[in-house]
Amino acid sequence: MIAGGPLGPAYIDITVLDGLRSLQREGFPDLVAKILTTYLTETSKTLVTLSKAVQDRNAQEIQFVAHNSNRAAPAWGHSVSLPSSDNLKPWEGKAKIDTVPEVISEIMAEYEGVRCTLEIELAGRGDCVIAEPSRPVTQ
Amino acid sequence: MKGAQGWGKGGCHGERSRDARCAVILVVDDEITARLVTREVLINAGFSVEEAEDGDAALRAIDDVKPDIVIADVMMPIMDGFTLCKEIRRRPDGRLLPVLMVTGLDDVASIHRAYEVGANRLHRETLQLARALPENPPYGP
Repeated sequence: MIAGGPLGPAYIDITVLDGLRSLQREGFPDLVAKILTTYLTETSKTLVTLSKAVQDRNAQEIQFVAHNSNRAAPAWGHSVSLPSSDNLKPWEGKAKIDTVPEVISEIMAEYEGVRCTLEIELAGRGDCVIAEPSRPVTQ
Repeated sequence: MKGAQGWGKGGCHGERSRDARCAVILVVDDEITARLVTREVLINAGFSVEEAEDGDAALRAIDDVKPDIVIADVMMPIMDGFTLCKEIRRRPDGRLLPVLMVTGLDDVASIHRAYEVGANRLHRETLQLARALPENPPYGP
């Protein structure tokens, strides 16, 4: 059970996870494990896409990726409270795109914390190394 | 059985069934985690669920499975939710098909556009929509 972790319960709504646990059907694979594993796998790919979009200064792609990541996390109870919600949404102006690398760094740092928390949850033991996220650069 | 008492109460539990008690919901979403959660919530509520990753795939699925309700994300690749809804309404068999749209876009223009293309309802979050559906069934426009 998630009881805190690097991000703590302030970021993760345990009642949502408990609600998902209550949907578990007998004889079917562990639903919460499947959701969390899917989230981790997909978000890793999403962050790669996001970094590339930042490097390419592709505002449309950034907005699209941000939209999806802002929908994936709440689905299992992670409240996205970093600037990703507000700052990635209206990313059409060139002025704002200059601030993207800083925001992405924050998102990646946040994701590392979430990843560790979820991996501990999935493995049922309490150790995880948080990687130092690299800062994407614009050209 | 599509009355307020009947939606999702057939106990189909996800297996595609021709049982008339099972309402079939087509979930259209390119975001896999959100789609997975939505599916499980709806199956648990007794609905039968089909899935599509984008609007184009959704139109094919509508032909194949004849869903009773469509739940569609707005921002999707290939064909977005607005275009999907418009295409559904152009079809003779799609005029009365309930289409519920999900979007994080909360600007007035996006909300207006959703209703202009024929959406029955607009929700901000898929999970909330899925949970509310059994008690609050949609009807055609």
